[in-house]
Amino acid sequence: MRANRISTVILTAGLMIGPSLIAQTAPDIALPPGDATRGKAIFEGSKANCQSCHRINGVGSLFGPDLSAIGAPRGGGGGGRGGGGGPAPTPAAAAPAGAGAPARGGATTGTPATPPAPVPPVPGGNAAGRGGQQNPGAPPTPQQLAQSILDPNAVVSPVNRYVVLKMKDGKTVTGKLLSVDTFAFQIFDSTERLQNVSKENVRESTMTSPMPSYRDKLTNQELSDVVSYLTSLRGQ
Amino acid sequence: MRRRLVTARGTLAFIVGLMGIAVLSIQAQQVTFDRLLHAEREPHNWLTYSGNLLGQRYSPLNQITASNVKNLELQWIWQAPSLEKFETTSLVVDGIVYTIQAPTNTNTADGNTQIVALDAVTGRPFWRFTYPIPMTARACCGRVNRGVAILGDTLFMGTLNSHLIAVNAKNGTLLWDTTVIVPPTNATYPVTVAPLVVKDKVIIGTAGGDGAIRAFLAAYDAKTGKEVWRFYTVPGPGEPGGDSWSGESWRTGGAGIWTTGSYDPETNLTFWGTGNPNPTGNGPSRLGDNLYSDSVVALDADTGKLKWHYQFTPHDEMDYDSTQVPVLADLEIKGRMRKVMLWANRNGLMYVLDRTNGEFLQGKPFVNVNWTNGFDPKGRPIRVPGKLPGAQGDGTPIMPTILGATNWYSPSFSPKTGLFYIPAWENSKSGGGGGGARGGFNTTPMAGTALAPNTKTEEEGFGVVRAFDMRTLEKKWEFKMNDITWAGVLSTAGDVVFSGGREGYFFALDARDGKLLWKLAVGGQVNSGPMSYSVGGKQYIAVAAGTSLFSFALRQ
Repeated sequence: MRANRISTVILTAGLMIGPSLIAQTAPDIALPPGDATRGKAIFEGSKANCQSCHRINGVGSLFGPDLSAIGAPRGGGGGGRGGGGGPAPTPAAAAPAGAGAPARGGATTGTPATPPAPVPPVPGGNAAGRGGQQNPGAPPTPQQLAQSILDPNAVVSPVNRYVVLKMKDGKTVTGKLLSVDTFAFQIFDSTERLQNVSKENVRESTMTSPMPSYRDKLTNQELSDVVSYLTSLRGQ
Repeated sequence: MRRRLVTARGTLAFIVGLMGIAVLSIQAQQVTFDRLLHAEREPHNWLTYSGNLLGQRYSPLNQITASNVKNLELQWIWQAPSLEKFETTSLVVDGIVYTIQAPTNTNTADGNTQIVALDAVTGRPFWRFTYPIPMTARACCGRVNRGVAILGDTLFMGTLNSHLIAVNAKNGTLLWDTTVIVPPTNATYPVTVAPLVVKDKVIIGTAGGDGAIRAFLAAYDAKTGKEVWRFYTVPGPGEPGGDSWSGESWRTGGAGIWTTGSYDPETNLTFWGTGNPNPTGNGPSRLGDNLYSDSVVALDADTGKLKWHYQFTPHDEMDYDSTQVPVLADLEIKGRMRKVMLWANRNGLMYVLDRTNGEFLQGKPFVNVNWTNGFDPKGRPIRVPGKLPGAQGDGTPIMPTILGATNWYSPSFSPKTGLFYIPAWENSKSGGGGGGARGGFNTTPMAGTALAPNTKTEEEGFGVVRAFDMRTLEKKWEFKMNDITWAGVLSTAGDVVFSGGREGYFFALDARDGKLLWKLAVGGQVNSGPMSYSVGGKQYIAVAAGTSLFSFALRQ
């Protein structure tokens, strides 16, 4: 069976902008002073077209992570991803609550994994009742946000993985990976539909971010403006 | 003529009636130790935690086969009013299921531990015995209970608050209640293990070895509940093995017991696996091998005296509990028939030991392992320098990680196929703590009841059922799951292997090649070992998943 098991060996770690997928080490990206107002316009305008995937304060697509609180401190428990017994997260819920994913040396970066703080067993605790494995902490730095915009595949977060499924009938299905089991993918697809895709119908699966790189689409100033806008977002 | 016919009919009716009485009387027979010892004579029953005293979790029933298992369908569900994991393997005695509801985390009357008697055909309850458990009583990783034992008309259950109780199997009334230990302050000695009955004794062990305890095995008189013998899994000064602990560390050395042992009638030895030394992650505080942690101990069943031991992971600092079921079989090893013990250990290695004397015969990894380079001539694992968790180590991942390659959930041995079926984890991507080490980045890898999202890649860990020929240690097949597993394995004479996992599937595999034959999404994590029984010539397969007990049979 396992022809269609996801393999990161052959895949690119994928992601879209989201608080949980920011590298823990700041990349060396020089940014000029940015203007959040200009950044908002770029974000919402046709040049960046960010809203086609990302939602902020109720506006925009649910396909990508909700960025309404991307500039807010992360973690703090609750929200976002539940513990082992929690319900399957919605894409919207997955984004702003600081899922606290560890930085991870993906296939593309080759950087060593930086494990998150250990989550020791709770003596006597009911695993189902535990909170998610979240890393409380500071919001992503401007450099980290910039890196995610310039190189969406640089860092991957398991809580914001996207999957591209090449079907045996020739079609391609792309979606946010909500869960994968031995027999099927549970995804939130690009048309904002929940789908259970049987592996019997899948020829090939890859984890690839649908987010394009903006390296050649934004100037350095525009990049800084967008970053400034994102860092100003603290949720409603 | 007519009168003679009537007479003949009457005689026939009388005979049939007598037969009925005989059947009833058979059904009402007490469960003697001889019946436990020869469980293979009554494959319609499941009389012990592992199905037989050899720990094989193998059913001789063969109505459900690899050819027809696709026609398996649900017969009934019993839902426990509990939020806790359902890790129990039920017993079945002549058409009656005895199972346990783990205490939930609510203070409701229904939320207490209960022994429940169910009709094995319909799942309808006959009686419930409720045993209140204080909310302060708990094990490290859930308020679980793995099952009851039976002897005569009496059921035996250990409790989280360190009691062993006896309950009348006919009506669910308490017969006796023995305090196993009064835990000292800041220590717990929960009894989560399903007891093992040997002769006239009930054997249990105390869990809690992740805390400051000195665990023990103990045998109790089945009629009175009086303790007959006790064996401390951590020896004291002056006792054999006592010098394997530095200073006073033995006093709180852990080595808990939380998985049912097995029994060999030929040697009268009972075998039990022990847990990690305490404190797990602080090796320097307890210098030495730390016997008998992470070991199998072979005890005289009458006296509790240690006959031999084998330590799987000396001076463990990686939490490699050896709390697995010792599986007994007779196999030809290197050209010679041997009475062996098969063991798939949390440390990632599988073993074949001579169960008569503990001799190490052979061993090999069954998952990716990098903490050892093999065994010395005596079977002691050779450690790889620097492979330690956390700051003590060289920073590279340890394989298997701290939750190990397997755990308490049962493997299975099929005398028919000769294969040893191991529920395992490959979880080698990360180590020493953190989300990855614990089975995945986005959810706790600890067992729960409800389904949890899984977005792990194969490199980050997965569950698998692997089949090995333990004569050669050769892997015959494997069945991979995307998520990890906390489910045991059952093999049957119908050449079917049943198991499940955290994904919430209960499935059937061909015992010979691992091919998937049937599956059902049961809506919750499978955290128990399946078992099989029959009533009226109809074979059932039962498994606990989520907070419910499911029973399946072939479509009529």
